This record gives sequence, structure tokens and C-alpha cells, in this order.
Amino acid sequence: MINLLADVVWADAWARTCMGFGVVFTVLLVLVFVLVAFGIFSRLSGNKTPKVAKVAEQPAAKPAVKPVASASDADKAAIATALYLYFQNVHDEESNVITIHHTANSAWHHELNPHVLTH
Amino acid sequence: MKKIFCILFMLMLVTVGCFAESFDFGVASEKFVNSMGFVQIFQGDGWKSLVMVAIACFLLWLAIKKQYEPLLLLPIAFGMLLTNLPGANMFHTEMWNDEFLNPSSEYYHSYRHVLAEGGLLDVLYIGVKAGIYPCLIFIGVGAMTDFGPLIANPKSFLLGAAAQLGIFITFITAHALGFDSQEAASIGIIGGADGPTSIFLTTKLAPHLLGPIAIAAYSYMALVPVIQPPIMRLLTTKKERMIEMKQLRTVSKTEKIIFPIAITIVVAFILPDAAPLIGCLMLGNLMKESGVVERLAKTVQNELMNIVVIFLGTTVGATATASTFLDIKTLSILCMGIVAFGVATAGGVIFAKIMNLFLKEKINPLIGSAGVSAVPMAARVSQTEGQKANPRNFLLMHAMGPNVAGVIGSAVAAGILLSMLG
Repeated sequence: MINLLADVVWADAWARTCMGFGVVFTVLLVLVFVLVAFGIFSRLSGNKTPKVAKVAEQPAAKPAVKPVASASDADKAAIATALYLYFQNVHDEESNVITIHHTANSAWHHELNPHVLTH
Repeated sequence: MKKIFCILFMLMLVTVGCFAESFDFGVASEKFVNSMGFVQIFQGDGWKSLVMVAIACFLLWLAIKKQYEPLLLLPIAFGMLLTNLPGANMFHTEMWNDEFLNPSSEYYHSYRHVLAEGGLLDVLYIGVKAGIYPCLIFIGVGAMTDFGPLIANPKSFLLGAAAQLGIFITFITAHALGFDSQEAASIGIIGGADGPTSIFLTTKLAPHLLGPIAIAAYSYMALVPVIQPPIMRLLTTKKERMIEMKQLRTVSKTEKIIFPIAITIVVAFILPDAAPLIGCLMLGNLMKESGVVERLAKTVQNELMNIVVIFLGTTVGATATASTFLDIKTLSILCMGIVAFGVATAGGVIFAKIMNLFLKEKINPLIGSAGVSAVPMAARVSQTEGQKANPRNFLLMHAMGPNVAGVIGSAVAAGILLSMLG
């Protein structure tokens, strides 16, 4: 039976709550330190992302296409569609289904050209 | 041909005649009628089974029509349907509650008895009882999870920790409502928004509440997009929701490989009770990130995960019998489950705001709500809410950090509750 607010040892309950939440927080805080330390160690051991600064120092090549300040939504949609079609190769895809239409006056038709088949 | 039929017919008549002395048609037909489910519904508490069948059908409707966590809700609901079919005796609750858990019973903790006397669902339930299925599911979850956003932004761990507030507030609330410590802890873990963790802890602490808790956990997880946004909007200003965050740094493969090993060692050393869940989660992740056991990684993500989900879902559903489910306690559990989710969401958001008081680069408080596990739905909610406030806001990857931290956080919370109350 459920007895509202009855027979609860509040000191115990609060102690467990605080201790439980405290431990969860402490463990995850330790993991934060582990990851931060690991990140620092990984950077010190030369595990860096490629340098970008040196590339910027080189004289910039003349762009082949005049840069556009900002593309409109329609432009972006067109570019995305073109890329999608290109990568999916659907722009010139054939159905690959061969259908033979039987025609009555075919040279191979048995009833019309019995000589051809009996050769 | 006709002769053969005549002979067979005569033989049949002779056979029936021979047994007619011991065959009482009246008794047999009475037995048959009494064994029918339709009749059992009107006997004693039989009507409760009918109510449970209706609830199971409602859950099936939610899973199929509304697609609320269908992968789990569908087997759970069907297990519930099977176990409540009057007279079918698909699952023997008394075998588990009265015999298996009773120290004075000769079948106390006797799996041999279950294997000898139990039905299919009883045998499959051994995996739940022994805590095997949740751990196997965690291997699959680990193999499907990318911890990159968490490694790139370790502060996310704190948001994952803050969101576990829901577990502990619900724990104390359940205490206030008269549940004992073990039951209160099992109800509180719903706030972790992590199905396998909820099942793992409940089977250890309060196995009689497994049905309602599993159903509450999975149902509310499916309702994350409904429960979280109002709380998130209530606790943040539009200016805060508009905060744009910098792109995360690239994480190297070495970091991703060392992460699961380091986390397993650190967590297991501090809290050995959390080792089964964390260990399995990280094993799956290591399989994926190492790249040397692609076949194993694919298996745990697909075949193993799917098989275990079927077993787990069906058997957990089977525990929801009329006698255990149709109780005022179930209603309280369902109510407290929603409180747990709400407080967990609020905890994450509020802690993100507190962090902003000390950080130079502000974080969007909306990512705090993703600290409840519910991967990746909670992160998607942060993304959606962020974009509503500022269409140029892309919070998904930032929210994935607290989201996966929440998985670790809820497993750690389960570990500490197990060590205190187990």
C-alpha cells in the first residue's frame, strides 16, 4: 500500500539522494579531466589537425570563377540537385528493361513464314 | 475405394464404442467450456485480463500507427497480450515472484526449475533476470554511437551529469509516496531515459515492478519531442536559444580508440557496479572505432541487437500481468516517470545556463536538455528548438555530446544506486 509521506526515514533518503547525485557528478567530472588531459597529451604528441595558417601565407591563386557574395536558396537547391543527380548517375540512366513486342507480320512468325522456320 | 471407407468407418465406431464407457461427454464438454478464454473472463478477476488485453492493443496501436518507439513497444505490447490471454499460461508470474525470489522456497534462485517447468516466455525471461539482455543491447548501442562530439567537447559530460537530477528527484518523490528504497530507485531510473539501464536496475532491485517501469520508460522516451520543448522554452529566453556555437574540433581516430578503453577503466575503478553496463557500451564502441573487427561490429549493431530486442521486449511485456499492472502503484509509476523526464530536462537546461555564467564562449542552453539519454531523439529536439529560434543554428552535433554523456551518466547512476541498495 502506498502511504503518503508516512514511514519515510527522510534523513536516509536525502543522504542517499545527495550521495548518489554527488557520485554521478564526481565520476563524470573525473571523466572531463581525463578527456581534457587526453586532449592535451594528444596535441603535445603531435596528433594535430593539418595546419591552415601556412596555406594562408601563400599568394592566393586567381579564382577561375568570380566568387559570389552569397548564393540564393534557389541557387543552393539547384547546386544540391545537380550534385545529387551527378553522384546518383540518374541523369542518363536507362531503365534496363527489354520488352519484346510480338508483331503479327514479323519475318519470324511461324504462321506467316513457315518456310523460314522449317529450313 | 468405397469399401475402404466403410471399413475405416466401422473401425472408428468400434473404437468409440470401446472407449465410450470411460468417456463422459458431459464432463468433457464442461471442461472444454471452462477452459475457454471467453468463459474465464467472467470468472473471478478474469475481467482484469480483458482490461490488460485492451491496454496491450492500445500500445500496439501506438507502436504501429503512431510509430512510438515501435522496435521495442511492439514486442513489449505483444508480450503483454500473450501473458494476459486467459488460460493460455504463457508466462508464470508465480514461478518468478513466489518461488524464484522466496528464500524459503525450494526453488529459490533455481533456473533449473524454470527450464524444467517454465514455458517459452519463462525460459527467455532468464536473460532479463540475469541481466544479460540489457548488457547485450548496450554492446549494440555502443557500436552505433559516435562519441566524437563528447571527446571534442568534454564539458558535455557535466550536462549529462546534471540531467541525472531527474533520477534522484524522482527517487526522493517515490520515497515520499511510500515506495521502499529499492522501488524508489527503480522508478527514479526512468529519468535516465535509458531503457536497458532501467530494466537492468529494476531486475536487480524491484523485479515485481519491471513491467510498468519498462513501459513507462519506453513510452516516455517516445514522447521526448512532446515532453521536452515546453520545458526548454519555459526555462530559456529567446536570446539564449539563439546562441550560435562554434564548430567542434576534429577528433582523431586514436582518440576515438583510446576513449572507450579509458572510460571503462576509470568508471570501473571508481564504481565497479557500473562496470557491466559501461563495459558493454564501450566494448561495442571499441569494435566500431578500432575498425579491425568490422564483421563483429556489424553483427552487434544488427543481428545481435535485433534478436535481443525481440527477446527482451516480449519477456518484459510478459511481466505486465493483470495482478501486477492493474494497481495504484502502476499509476503512480507512470505519473512519476513523466516527472522524472521533466526534471531531467530542466536539470540539463538550468546547468547549461549556470555554466554560461563562467564560460567565455557561451553554450546554447538548449543542448542541456539532451543530457537525458534518449539517443538521438533528445539531440534532435535541441536542434529543432534551436532552429526555431535562429534558422542559422545547427545544434545537433553539439547536443550529441551531452546526449551520449547522458548514456554514461545514467549507467553510472544505476551503478551507484545498485551499490547503495543492491
